[in-house]
Amino acid sequence: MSLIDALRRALERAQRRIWVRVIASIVVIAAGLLIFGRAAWQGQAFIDRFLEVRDALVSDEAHVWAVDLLENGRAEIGGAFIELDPSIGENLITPEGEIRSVDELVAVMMAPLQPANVPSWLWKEPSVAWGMAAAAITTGLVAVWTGLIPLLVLLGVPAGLASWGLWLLGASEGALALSTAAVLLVLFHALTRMLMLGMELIGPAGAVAATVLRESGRSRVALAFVITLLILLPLLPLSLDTGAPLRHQVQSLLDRSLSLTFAMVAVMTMALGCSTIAFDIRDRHIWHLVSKPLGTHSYLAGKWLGVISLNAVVLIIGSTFAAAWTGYLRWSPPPDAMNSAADIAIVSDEILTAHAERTPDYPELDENEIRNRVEAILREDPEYAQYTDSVPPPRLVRVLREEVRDEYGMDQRRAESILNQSVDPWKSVTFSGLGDVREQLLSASGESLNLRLRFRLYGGSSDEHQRRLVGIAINGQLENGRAGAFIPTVRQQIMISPRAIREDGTLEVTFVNLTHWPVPAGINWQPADLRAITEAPPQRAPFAIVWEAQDIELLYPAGGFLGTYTRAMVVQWVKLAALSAVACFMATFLSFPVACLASLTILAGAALGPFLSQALGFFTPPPLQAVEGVGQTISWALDSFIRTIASTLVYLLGSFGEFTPIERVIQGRVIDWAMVGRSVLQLGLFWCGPLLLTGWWILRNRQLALYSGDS
Amino acid sequence: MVSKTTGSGTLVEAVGLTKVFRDFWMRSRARAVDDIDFTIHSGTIFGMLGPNGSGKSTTIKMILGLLRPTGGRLAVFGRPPTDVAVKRHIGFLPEESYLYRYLTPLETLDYYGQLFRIPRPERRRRAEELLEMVGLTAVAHRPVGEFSKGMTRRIGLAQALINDPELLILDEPTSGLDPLGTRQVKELLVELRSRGKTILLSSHLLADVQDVCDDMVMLYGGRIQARGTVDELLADTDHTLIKAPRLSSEVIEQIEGVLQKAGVGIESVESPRQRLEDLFMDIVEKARAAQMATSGALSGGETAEFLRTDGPEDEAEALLEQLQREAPQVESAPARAAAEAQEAKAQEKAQQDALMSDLTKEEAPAADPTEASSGGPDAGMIEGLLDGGDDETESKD
Repeated sequence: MSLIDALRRALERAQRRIWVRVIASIVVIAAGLLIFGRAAWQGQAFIDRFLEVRDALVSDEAHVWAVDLLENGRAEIGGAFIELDPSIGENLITPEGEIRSVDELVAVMMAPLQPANVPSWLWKEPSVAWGMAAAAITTGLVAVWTGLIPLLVLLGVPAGLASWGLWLLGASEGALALSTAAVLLVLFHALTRMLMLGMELIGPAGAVAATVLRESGRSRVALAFVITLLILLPLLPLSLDTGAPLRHQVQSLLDRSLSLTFAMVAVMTMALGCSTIAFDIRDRHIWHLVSKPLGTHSYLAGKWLGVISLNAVVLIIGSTFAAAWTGYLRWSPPPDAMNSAADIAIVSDEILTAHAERTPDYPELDENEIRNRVEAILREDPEYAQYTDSVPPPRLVRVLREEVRDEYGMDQRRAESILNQSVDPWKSVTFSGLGDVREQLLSASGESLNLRLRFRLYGGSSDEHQRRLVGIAINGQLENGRAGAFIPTVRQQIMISPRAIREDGTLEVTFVNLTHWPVPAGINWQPADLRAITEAPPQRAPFAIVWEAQDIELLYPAGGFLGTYTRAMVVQWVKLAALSAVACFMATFLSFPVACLASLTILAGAALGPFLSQALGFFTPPPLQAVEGVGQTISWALDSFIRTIASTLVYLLGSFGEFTPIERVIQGRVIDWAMVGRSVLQLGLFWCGPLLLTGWWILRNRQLALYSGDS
Repeated sequence: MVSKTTGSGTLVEAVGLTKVFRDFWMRSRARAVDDIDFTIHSGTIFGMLGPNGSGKSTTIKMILGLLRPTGGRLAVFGRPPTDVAVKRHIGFLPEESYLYRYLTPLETLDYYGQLFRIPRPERRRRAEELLEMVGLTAVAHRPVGEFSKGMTRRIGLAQALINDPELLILDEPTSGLDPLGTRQVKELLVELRSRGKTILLSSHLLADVQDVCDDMVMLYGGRIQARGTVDELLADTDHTLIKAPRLSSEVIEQIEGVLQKAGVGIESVESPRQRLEDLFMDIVEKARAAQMATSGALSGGETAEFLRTDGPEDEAEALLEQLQREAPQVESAPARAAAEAQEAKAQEKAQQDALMSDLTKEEAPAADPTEASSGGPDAGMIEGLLDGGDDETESKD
């Protein structure tokens, strides 16, 4: 028996004694209060003092203290003295005692009073620090009272010592990563134990679910994924480009950590969902289970519940990590980050605020107009001359109607080059129903509309790597328009004042295709220059700018980050629940490897749903009438077969890929409860329901003691 | 010979029970169980004896609802075997203990206890008592995956008892156990029977069945070859055994003389030998008294307290009545006419008589069935049966 093994056994024996648990609980509470509670308390005290000083210096008696500070280098505010270096004071206070910038003066005076030996990201938000204290103490107590003292000691002590050593050696990031990995591991076990206790209330299905959770912590299949994830997550921050703007760092961190968590959990779900049932059947554990008063429905439901509970645990860990590190990045921008103060503001406004979005109202052709245009095509296009005196086939009419509709739609989303003298080089789009948004934003001073846009080039010399000049005017006022350089295919944004929204709640935006690049000499990015640019001589070949319906959108603040983030994780969980149902269903009638393969194929199909849907638009076999010869017929049959399968896949699995909560979080878009409800309905009900019911039916009718394995 | 306590209720009833295994194309591959009838009464130990592949385990799996009968009628507590309600009263130990390797014995028992909705404190108590009983208290926190086969069997037996079942189904319960464990299992079975529990014991170890069973069937090739009580099957009405302290040759000659006068000769005179099992037990008891150390499973303790607590004497019958009230009876297979069943029984009786006749011709009589475990009347039969064997591939008996 190794030393560690002996120690583990000794700790296991010790933790069965109540007094050991009581002492460990006291240690946990003390440690939580010492680390997080102290930071919260000191942070709150600093902020209170800061506000007290600031309030004093904006009051009517401010000049008294200002003079004191200037003359004596200190002043008594709120019963305590605050000091100011006179050499700095001369720049901030006039000899007459007038404060030039209160905020700057308070910041300078309060800087030495900042809590020492406490990370700034921790004390700057005391409520978060208190939350972390509560979470840490709860986790610790759960660990102590659910038999995790050996883990706490055997993991916590070496990890703590190693982190301390790394810290002393100057590798603070490594120390942080190591200690974070240890914390995540303890968190994983503690959450799992908590859920297992809760499962006991559910009955036999809960017992099955609890055993799945236990299995996840002890069997190789799930444990490999969990440990890999818990090690990789803390290493992710090391991969960030610290020289990049803070916004990019935060977005990268959120993207990588949440995507990695989801990908790992998705694959783990497939593996665990398949293995936990397929191995029960293969290894005949199910003989024991079915001989107990456990219905097949309870068994299957328990397995599914166990897998989705594990998903919840890992998602909580991954999302907590991402949120905590985002907070850390937000308050502790690296020293080489560009324009850190402005960057922090951008992060707060664009990412850590949830935005609702609106797309323009694109006009559509009415039925008469469509019919007229189709008839015109049939009449004028020589290709359809044969139908001049006869009724065209319904299929042809359908195709032409689609073409007319598409062409009209594209025309609404295209601005011809200014060099194309035949048409106006601009296109206007209108957003409507913004009356409430206007009121809301005007009442919250400082908030603005965010116009996000992305252009593509169409025709002519369309080098997409160069910037193009596009003018943008609001509510048709070209003379007040503004020109900007846009990189085709890259999403960019413009801030618009809410006052631009008209009284009727509409906002019209005009895009002018100016074509020129580089900007003609002497022209600056001023509104009045737009007209001048249109009159400048051309320098490039003509091209049109086009955009898809979703490429132009107007965003406005509609909620906090935390709410949207939480709802995003719920949607992610629902997606994983759907995958769990797929895996459990497959394992009811397939062996482990085959079930895994089938489940992963479905995962891939589901994840690629939107792409497949788009690709299918370009993959249409020719009409059967146009097919000649055996070779073409075989090719047509094959194409039709593939298209049928792909269409079925898209139809069945499309909804999975439509929900992209991570993308929305990163882009600072709101996720409302309606979206959560839709995901529950589409994935939770329409996916999981039929799959689990079918799986139950299969298990119920399967003779479970028939086997062909050799275990 | 153990005493027999027979209740009047019928816990398991099979009529014309048949199981045919088919391949993917639905072609018949093996007839594992072929038209068998039997009844298990409450409060008895019912033995199912037969060589490997005779259909014992397949029958058990049908009783548990793990396999569906191809034909015939099977009722457990008067209900279909797949009915979840009847499983509340069944304990099952399969031929091998298919337990989760990553769970400890305590967790295993707790898990199965939860499936029976046993409250947590009671679960805990039963688990500890059972572990004490099967001698695994010292390894209660070690994963089952680290256990030897014997230890796994012990935990398997414990899980079968966690719900204090009315019907205990044991498939080769002593397989993998040392003589100490084997003896303990037998004693446990007898004790459970004395509490009115019903036990279905499947084994190919003749001594196991002979020592504890009241009724038994002997299976071969999926068919019942013999049936009856142990007394009925093993009684040798052609011989008389007189047991006395060791006699001198003179005395034996005198007895022979007396017998000759009565027209009877002595066939053989032997000094009885101690059974190996008794010798082994004696040695172990002495070693234990000398406190010699052992590793792994300790010898089991007393029967778990909750298993020793007497319930109402007519518990099984009350349960039967309750279950039968709650659910419709198992429907008879329409194809099975009563006349067919009667005819089959008559044929079976004829076969049994013939077999018994053969057995009594081949073997010397055993004065006490419990002393004939190694060379008793069954041995000749089993050896004969093993010569044939069968090719059933789907079910391992």
